[in-house]
Amino acid sequence: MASLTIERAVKRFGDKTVIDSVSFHAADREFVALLGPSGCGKSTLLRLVAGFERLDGGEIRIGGETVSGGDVHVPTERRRLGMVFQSYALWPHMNVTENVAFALKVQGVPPEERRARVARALKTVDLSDYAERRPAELSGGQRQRVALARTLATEPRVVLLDEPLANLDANLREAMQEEFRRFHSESAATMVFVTHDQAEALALADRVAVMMEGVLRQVDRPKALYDQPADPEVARFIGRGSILPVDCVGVSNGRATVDVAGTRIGLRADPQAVEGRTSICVRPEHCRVVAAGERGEPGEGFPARAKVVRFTGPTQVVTAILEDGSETEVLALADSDQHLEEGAALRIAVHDGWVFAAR
Amino acid sequence: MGERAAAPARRSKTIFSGFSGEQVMLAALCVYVVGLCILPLLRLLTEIGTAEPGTVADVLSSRWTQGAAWRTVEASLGATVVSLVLGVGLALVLGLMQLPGRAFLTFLVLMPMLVPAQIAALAWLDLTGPSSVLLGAVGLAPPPGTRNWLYSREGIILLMGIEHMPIVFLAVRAGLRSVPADLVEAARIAGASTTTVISQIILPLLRPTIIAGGALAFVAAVGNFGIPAILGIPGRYTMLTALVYQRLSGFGPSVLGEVAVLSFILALIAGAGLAVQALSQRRARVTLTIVGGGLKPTDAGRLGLPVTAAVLLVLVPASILPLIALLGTSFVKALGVPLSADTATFAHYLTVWDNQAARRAFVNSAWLSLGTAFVSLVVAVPFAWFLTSGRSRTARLLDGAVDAPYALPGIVISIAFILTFLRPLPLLEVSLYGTAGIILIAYLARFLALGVRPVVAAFVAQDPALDEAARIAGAGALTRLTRILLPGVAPAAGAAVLLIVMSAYNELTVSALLWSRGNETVGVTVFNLYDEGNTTAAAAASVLAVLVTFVAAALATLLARWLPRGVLPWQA
Amino acid sequence: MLKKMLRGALFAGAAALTASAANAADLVLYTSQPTGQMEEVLALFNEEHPDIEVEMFRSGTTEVLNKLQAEIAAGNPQPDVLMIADSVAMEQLKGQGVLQPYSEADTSVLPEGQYDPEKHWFGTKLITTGIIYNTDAGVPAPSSWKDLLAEEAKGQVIMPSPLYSGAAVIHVGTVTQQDGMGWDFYEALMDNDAIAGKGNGSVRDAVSRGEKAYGIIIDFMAFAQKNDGSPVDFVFPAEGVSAINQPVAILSTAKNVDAAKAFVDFQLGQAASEQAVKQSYFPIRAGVAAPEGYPDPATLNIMPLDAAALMTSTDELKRKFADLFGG
Repeated sequence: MASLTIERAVKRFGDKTVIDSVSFHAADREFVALLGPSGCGKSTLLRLVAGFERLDGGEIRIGGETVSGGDVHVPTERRRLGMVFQSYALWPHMNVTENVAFALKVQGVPPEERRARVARALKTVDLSDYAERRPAELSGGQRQRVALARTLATEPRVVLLDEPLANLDANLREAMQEEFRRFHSESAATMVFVTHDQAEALALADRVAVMMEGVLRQVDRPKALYDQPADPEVARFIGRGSILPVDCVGVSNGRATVDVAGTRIGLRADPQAVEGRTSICVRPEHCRVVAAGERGEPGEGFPARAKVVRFTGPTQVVTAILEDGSETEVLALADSDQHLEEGAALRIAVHDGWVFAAR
Repeated sequence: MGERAAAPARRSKTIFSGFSGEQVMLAALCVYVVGLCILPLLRLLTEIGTAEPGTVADVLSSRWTQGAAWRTVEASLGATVVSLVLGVGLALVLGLMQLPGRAFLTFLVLMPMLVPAQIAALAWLDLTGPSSVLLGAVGLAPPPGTRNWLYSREGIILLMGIEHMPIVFLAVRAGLRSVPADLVEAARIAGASTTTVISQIILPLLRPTIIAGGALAFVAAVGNFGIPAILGIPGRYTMLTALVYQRLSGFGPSVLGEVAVLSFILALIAGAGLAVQALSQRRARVTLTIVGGGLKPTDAGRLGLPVTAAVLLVLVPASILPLIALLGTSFVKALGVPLSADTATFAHYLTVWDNQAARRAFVNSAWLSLGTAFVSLVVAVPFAWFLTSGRSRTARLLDGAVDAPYALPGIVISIAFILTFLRPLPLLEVSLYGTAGIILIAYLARFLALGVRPVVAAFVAQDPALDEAARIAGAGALTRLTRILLPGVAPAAGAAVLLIVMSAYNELTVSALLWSRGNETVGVTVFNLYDEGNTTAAAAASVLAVLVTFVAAALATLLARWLPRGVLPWQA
Repeated sequence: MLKKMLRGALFAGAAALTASAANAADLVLYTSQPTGQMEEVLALFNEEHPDIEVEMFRSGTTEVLNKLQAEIAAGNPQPDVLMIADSVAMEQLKGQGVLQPYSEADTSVLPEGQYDPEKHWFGTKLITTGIIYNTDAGVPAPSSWKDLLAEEAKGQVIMPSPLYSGAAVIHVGTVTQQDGMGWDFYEALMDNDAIAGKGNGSVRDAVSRGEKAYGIIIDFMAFAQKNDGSPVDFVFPAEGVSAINQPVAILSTAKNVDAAKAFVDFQLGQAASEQAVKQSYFPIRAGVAAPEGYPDPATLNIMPLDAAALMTSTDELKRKFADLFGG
């Protein structure tokens, strides 16, 4: 119910700058995922928004109100936020109802209304029958739903989610993703979701912000992030992109022609891409192994050598080495009935890919 | 055990043919623990069981027994409240706020632990009495004729409360560190202010920990002897420990049966406290399981200085002023004479130096405490190993026995040892009673737990694969213990030695009934000097005794960087 | 084999420990005289007998005796010589067969009644129990035991406990035998909120500190404190004082009888008596003057004591006292 704006935020721990001039805006009711490898600073950024940490520079605004920046530091308890923790952070000495009601009690919501809102929140997460249970008596998924209900009941301006699914097993995780989407639509809160799991981020968020080493690398819709990564590192992190060194020989109209190990291919290109040495990102699903025997036929892909072949059922995943002396690895798919031997020469045809601007 | 004995001993260096080294070691440990920690307590029980029929009933129905038992409970509960208020408050302040000089403040909090009870009592009397050097200097001394209010229930409660406050403080501080930080953060997000967070989240979470700490403080108060003896006897507020001492010194060995009953009552009261402690401890372990990081102190901001000042306002009178008063008394020419450059004298220190018994006491306590520490360590390391490696059910059975002599009041232990060792030993025809031997073995029993616990903790923290890998490599029990496991637990063992030496050096409760001519301890000397009215010399001896403890603590601090974190309680 | 080894180790350990306790000293003395004074006494003794090394254990008479009884029970009595507060206790020990006679002792200098006619014990000095009071406390100077029952003395009286002090045993025994005092006097003291400390030292301290205005105490301790500059004074009450004679005796189990005899001779001699006077004691030996400022011992009004009656009832006395004062 409020936008979140971060401007040139800086946070240092000792000599180490963990948040380096990060700017970012989440619109009202937007669901933004903050994605990055562990230690990239995404949790710190979240804690800065929550007010657990003080800014060393820049500014954070919630709904237009400056909560951090300059001399201002609104304490956490007055920021009217919601937060869902990786550990769920349910108070073990309170039962489910008490956990959900705590914030309302602290905020002075009258008992009648409190009861109604707690009941509503529990109903939303389908836990009405567990109202009297203690957290210790609940499963992991139930605990996280209690944490959601607790956040829901307070009707916060912005909800911060700190790797809320990391402690759940894979099956539960998918079910909970559904839960989060529902939660988002019902609460109408602005949500910032921190995760290191790109699949989770892409599946859930309106927009994904990719953070690496304290710097925001790219903020975009999931599809754009996947199709048009800002740089090779983002590409490697999102999806299993293979990065290949190429020579760009011609650019025109958002497309470029590149030379991969002596084979010319036309691909989508970064608007800033120019001719010369650069690299491309190709996804495994766009790389197909074509019959190894048909060598020498132009247009049928670039030469490579199979290094590892893994049988996955519908397809075979091939890790191949580019035959250009660079030892670059590329992932490609092959039909499951195709006969492939490790060490064998093969060709890889590319249907789609992304040419980076040279750096 | 069978499969180990049957294993081919190609590479094991078995000295005792027919037994494995492990079996011999275990057997020796069992003899040691049973002989020191179980038999004397059983002897105490049989004494009561075989006492003349009337004795038990007489003792139980005596006005003084009932009064003393009631006073023990009453004063100990009162002292527990004081310890809880101070300990919890200080632990919260120091545990949650990054105050300037936090390490020093923590040291002040723990200082009562370094000052033995009898010396604390003397110091407080010197501080608050009409002849107080400190109060006299600022014209605040009570007029002569004023009864020192410390000789009262309230005085005993206050002093025991302060004396055992560090127990609560340490428990709560450890508890705070195990409160998951995100539980507090979640409350902040919910809009809770600091006071709400403390009252609604932190304190309820710590409740089992606080109860456990309080129960320990209660048990310590029940077993306290120095304060009830020095304040309670003149104050006509006789508690059980003092009553046992008085009965034994007033009526002699003829009343051993009676005091056995008294000490059994004492043990029961302490046992109740220990049961509460054990239950709460178990609950605390269930409630607090950390997923993320534990609570860490946060920046105190502008509150830092005022809060530090407030903490000092509590700690200076509680920890420092009594010691300064003690120091003052040790230099004053005679009691009631104001201390000035003219009246200051070193004479009392010379008195202590010239006093053979006092001089000997400092030597005796040194070798007794060092000897206890050394032997305990030699026993504790293999014992802890058997205990933690899960290879001996016998060792686990004996685990509780190790704690009993430390947890129970010292007076109970000394009565048990007198009963057991008064008669000449069966094979040797010599009695240990009246020798340093009885003090040493009583110390060995009492302080074994202090040696075992840190070493057990270190073994638990060690990767069991280390030992298993050594066994795969064919190393025998002794080899594994000395070459693989010992290096890992060495720091914990060092800490254990330190703890034992510091506890045993100024010990009074056990030696009060066991000492004999030639075998005085420092605790006994201070007590006796005070007892015979030589308050100034008692002050001088106390100053020296406290000095030794502080030097040991300082040495330990210097060594701290080689010790694992948390071994020295005053290091935040 | 294990058993044999264990036994060997135990024996070696026990032997080492007992040896360290029983080491060396030529003469072991158990006494109730304050440590500071005894150091002076032993220094003087060693001037006469530099070859005799004395080991001393000091505590209140009752405690010394109980320590001794415990050692006897353990089959290991330590002392050669005993010097305690009162002859009643000595008579009890004599009856128990713990003491040995020293028939050659020179008792010609001692008044009759101050030594055992069968030469088991010998008085060494005269110690009376009277009243100490704090001169700064603003209370009237006492002149009678009854003054301790006055309104001004309510909650202001401290006395030594017979459960610790031998002088206190004699004092309580004497007072309770007097017409017009008896146990009634102690019950009245209790009603007046008097308390029992431990030894006489605790009385001296409480009164010097000003925590109590009045104390029942042995004379020399009060005088010594007064001489040190503390605001206290000592009074011989009108009804009379109780008296003890700090007897010395040799144990039947003494390991070094010659040294023990030398110590008894020394105690009965001129030098020791003069030293006692310097330490603020009334002398017992004929021809030695009382300390300066003391009344002539001959003029002292000493309350009569039926020692034989007290001898058989000390335990009962201590129990009665403990019942009243808890000490």
